Amino acid sequence: MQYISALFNGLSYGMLLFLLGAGLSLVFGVGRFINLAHGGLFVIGGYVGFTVLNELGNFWLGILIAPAVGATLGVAADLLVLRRLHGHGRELDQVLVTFGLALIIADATRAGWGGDIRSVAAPAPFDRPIEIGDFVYPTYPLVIIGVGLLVFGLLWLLLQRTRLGAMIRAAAGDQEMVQVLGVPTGPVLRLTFALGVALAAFGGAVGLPRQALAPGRDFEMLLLALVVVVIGGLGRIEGAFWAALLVGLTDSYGKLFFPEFTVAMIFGLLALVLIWRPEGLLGKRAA
Amino acid sequence: MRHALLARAMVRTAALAAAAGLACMPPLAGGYSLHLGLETVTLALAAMSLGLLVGWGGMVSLGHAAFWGLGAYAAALLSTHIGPWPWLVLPVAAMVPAAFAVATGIFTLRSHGIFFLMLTLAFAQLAYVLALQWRGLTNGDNGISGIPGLAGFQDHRALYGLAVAFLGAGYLFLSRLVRSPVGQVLDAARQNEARTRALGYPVFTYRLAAYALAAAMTGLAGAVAAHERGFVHPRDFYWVVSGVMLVVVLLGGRRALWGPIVGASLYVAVGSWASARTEFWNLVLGLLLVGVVLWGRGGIAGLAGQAWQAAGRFQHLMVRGSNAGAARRARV
Repeated sequence: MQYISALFNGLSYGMLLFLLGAGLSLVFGVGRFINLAHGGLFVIGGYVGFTVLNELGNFWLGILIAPAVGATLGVAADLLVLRRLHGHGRELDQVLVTFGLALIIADATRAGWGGDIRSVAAPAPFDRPIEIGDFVYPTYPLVIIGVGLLVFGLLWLLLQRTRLGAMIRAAAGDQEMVQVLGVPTGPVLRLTFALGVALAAFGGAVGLPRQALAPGRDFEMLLLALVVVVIGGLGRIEGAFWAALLVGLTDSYGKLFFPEFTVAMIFGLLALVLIWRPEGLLGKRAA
Repeated sequence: MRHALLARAMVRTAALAAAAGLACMPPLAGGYSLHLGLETVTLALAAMSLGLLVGWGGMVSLGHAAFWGLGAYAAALLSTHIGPWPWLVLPVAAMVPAAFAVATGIFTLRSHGIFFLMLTLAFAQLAYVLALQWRGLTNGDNGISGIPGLAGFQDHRALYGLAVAFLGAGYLFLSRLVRSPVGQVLDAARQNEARTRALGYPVFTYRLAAYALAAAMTGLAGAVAAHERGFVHPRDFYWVVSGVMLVVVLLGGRRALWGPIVGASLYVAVGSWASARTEFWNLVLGLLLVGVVLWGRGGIAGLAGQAWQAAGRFQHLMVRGSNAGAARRARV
């Protein structure tokens, strides 16, 4: 039975990692930089959800407000800071700036919500466990799995079936060529960034009942998201999806068999993938 | 011409004298300023090695905390379990991080730029988690306390002298290194890897060697810091430590080896000032990083260089008409 529990635990954790990794991966695809403040946005989403639940008493409202707040912050950061650093050869500067933003977010959330561990109960009607014979399992992780699948589907439709998606994919392919063809890559990048950050904040709010908030969580999540996008291949949504599930399952079964070395196993997985396919599981051969 | 040379020599001497004077301050004052002095010197030593990687190797690592932590933990474990003998502790504290650098560098140095940064970060975080979870060896979240003073350097004034000697030796060694063929190959590979490789240089080996050297220097710095505090904690492996070193390098200037010394002094000074007033010190650090990247790409060394050039232009105005100025301009 515990093997089946671990399966669902791993899948639901993987879906949270996918929500994080998808945004990171998308932004990298278009902007060629890695947003190290991504974990911070995940945590902000969680805290926003927490506050909305406490003040207004509605969990689902929090899930809607969190991505809006995240997107707003993302656009603000882009306008104030990141925009000045666009351009060739400045990707590393962008990464460093997002590292600075991550430090600022870490302390700002600590100042705003304190250093205590914050957790919430799963919302009704998902607060009761499912019982099938002897097998008892909480409902909420299954909700997370459903939400993750839904987001994956919607993202896939967005990227493959809409004009904006075509622009994002084109900008990820060859930025200069796309610019020459008249696509405004600046706004496309800004939209992608807002979308990615909103996804991270959404993940933070959705994952709230499963994962308590505490100082340091932002960085923990960022690191796992980095592992996910590196394993999956940077800039690939499908890659992020499968890699997130792989990491989630490694985590849950690792906790079952080798609880002390779970994180080491995840990094072992990363090292294996890098030896075997340095460009990630679904990544393109070195560009 | 002669004036220019004389002026340069005078500025150099003045800077050296000021540095030497400042370096003598902490042991004379003792107490808290000695602690800050040791913190500055160890941080400068670690950041200088990162400066070599960033400025000449083009390897922007966000995993230097792993080397720092490994050096600190190796020193702490040896000193508490075997004996605080410098001839044992210090070489091992340099070799353990170097071995880690070689083992991980084989993977991380295949990648460049952002990928390298992420992978070094990931491996450093792996070390952090191991330090937290391998309780049998590291005592987990409690850290290791009661580390005895390094034999012969129990007095922190002596330890400070040792750290300054390491920093001075490191500076001399690295400034020779970057002018040597090895440093020039590193710099060439930073500018154009394919061409350097086409010339027949084994770029990967050079980078791995520089990476291991930086790790050893950082490990030494971590070992000295561990003995000064008498305490190590998994936080020595934490990403903020790597971030601080990177901030120090960028603040000082990424293309000057003395930059990290100035950067570390400034960082520790601002840090001790700010942390006495706010518990949200990371916020200040983050703002500092954003500010330096946005407005001060060359760091303090860049500013100093601009001032130097401005002074040079001023001198040209003074000696205009004489051929000396033109000749100097042509040579520069």
